Amino acid sequence: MSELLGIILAGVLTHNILLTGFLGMCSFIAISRDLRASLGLGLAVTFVATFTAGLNALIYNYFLAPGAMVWLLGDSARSIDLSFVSLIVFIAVIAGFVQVVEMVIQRWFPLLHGVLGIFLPLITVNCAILGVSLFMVIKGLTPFRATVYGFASGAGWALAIILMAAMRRRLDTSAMPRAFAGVPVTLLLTGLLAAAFSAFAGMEF
Amino acid sequence: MTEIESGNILKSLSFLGVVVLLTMGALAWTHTSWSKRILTNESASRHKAILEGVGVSTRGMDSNAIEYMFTKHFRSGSGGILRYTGPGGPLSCYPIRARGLWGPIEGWLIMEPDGHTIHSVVITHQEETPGLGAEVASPSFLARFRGRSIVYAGGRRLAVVKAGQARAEYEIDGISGATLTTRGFGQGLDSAMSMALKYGGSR
Amino acid sequence: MSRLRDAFLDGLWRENPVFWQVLGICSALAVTTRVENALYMGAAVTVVAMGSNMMVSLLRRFIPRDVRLMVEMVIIAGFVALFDLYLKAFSYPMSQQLGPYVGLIVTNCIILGRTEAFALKNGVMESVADGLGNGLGYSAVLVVIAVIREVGGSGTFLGHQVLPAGAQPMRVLVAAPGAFIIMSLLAWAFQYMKEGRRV
Repeated sequence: MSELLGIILAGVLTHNILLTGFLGMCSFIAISRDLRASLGLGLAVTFVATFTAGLNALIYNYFLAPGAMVWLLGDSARSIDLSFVSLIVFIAVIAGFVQVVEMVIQRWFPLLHGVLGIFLPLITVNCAILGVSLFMVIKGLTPFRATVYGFASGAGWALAIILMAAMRRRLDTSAMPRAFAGVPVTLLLTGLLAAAFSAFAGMEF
Repeated sequence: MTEIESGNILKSLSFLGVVVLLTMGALAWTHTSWSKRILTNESASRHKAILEGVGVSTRGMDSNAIEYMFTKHFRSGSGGILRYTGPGGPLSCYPIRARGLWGPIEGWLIMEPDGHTIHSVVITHQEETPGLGAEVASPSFLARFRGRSIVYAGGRRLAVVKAGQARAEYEIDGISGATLTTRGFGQGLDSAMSMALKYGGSR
Repeated sequence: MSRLRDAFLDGLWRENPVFWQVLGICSALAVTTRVENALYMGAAVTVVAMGSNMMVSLLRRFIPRDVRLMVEMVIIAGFVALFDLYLKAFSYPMSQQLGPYVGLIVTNCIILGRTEAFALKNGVMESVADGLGNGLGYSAVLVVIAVIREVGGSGTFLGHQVLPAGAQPMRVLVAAPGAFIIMSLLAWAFQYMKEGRRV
């Protein structure tokens, strides 16, 4: 139990995928202009990261990893290593998952579609989602722990973008050099936020 | 994108399918032709640390040279133990397999021929948080083990404790800010020491 | 010839993807702790951009419109996986250093953006030139950031000690906040130049 808690706290605070892993910066900078949109995108990223990490971990652990197909083909499969196609498979799973989710919530959950609908297409090219799946392989997580890790990373990303959107609301009314407005000031604030988050690093769990 | 015609969807999907198959085919072909090199590289990167651990410098060596030195100087014994017989030897290397916060921590406990003095500890794999748990592989942390005995008066064993709390002579300070990593590594090291005590002594 | 040059120069400088369009900065920030990493990452992006632009341009008359994004993604992912294998086979320590950030080139908005905006509409040679320009423009930014971070943060350049031994390097430059702050200052400078050009 304390291990799962450790994964969650690390994913959200000390090992935040945006503030320490720099993933998902493009949409972070573009969308954090607007607080409502940030909430929606944050939710969508958390949702998709959780499920695609789990799905990709299942596929990786039972089909792609070196010797993973022993359960299916017997001992002769010990030397089969399909990990070189993981990248293409992960991308396909993410794109497919986003497509299916979009169709499902459009059909049955119109309210949710109103909140998440416009963000889902943005997610396929959000590197945080693919990043979670790639890191999960390197960390050698089981499907269950990968799902927890995906959730934690997504939640950490959401927390960062929501905090940034809240800060940027104040910027609208602040005076600053014209060339500094927009991207530069957002990056500077992200840097300060990252510095603040690194203070969690001494935390013991 | 109003140009989508339902009659064409099959054609589009088969086009996509062909592109996927061709790409995977090209990858599979490349992977097969390079797989020997890749495997040698992977195994050399695992063996590099243990060679450095027993005192063989691998500076400027390529993967094949590292593999050659490794097979020349090391013999494997029971239970995954490696015996080093090269210059500065003989030394015995016991595998450390520990659970870190993020994934496995792997390494070697390298013992002097007297059977109870640590020659060195090396880490070959870890995925801990940079700046915190990842310090488990840092030279300054590993240097704390060099030359220490693994058994003390009263049957006490060498133990890794929370950072800054080492009081007794058989205790070693852990990594600050990384309690779980310290605990996992300590347990892994302890089972390696059990092996060293069981199979210890020179051979 | 001038069209080739235009395609190349637009990517390299006039519309440099990282600064004018703020694309693909994930890896620009993550891998730039060392100049060597930045060089390899830049090479990877350049090769993948050229290759996928070439393939997409070659196939541009055949790719069905409704699946074109998927086709582009598969082609890009293929080139990235190929480069990853190359690093594992011929430069293993570097493949360990870059880790998953090589794979993340797939989602680098620059490459997908160039195949979508340029290669689908232009000939093969122009597309390759466009990929080369964009890749080198991206690499240049990466190397600039990496030089600041490695020299300032570790006191070394390509692994060789360059600061005098007594000088205390600024560790924060290597850490995450330092990357954001350097990027912010560079983006400020670039926006200043852009404003200046317009006014």
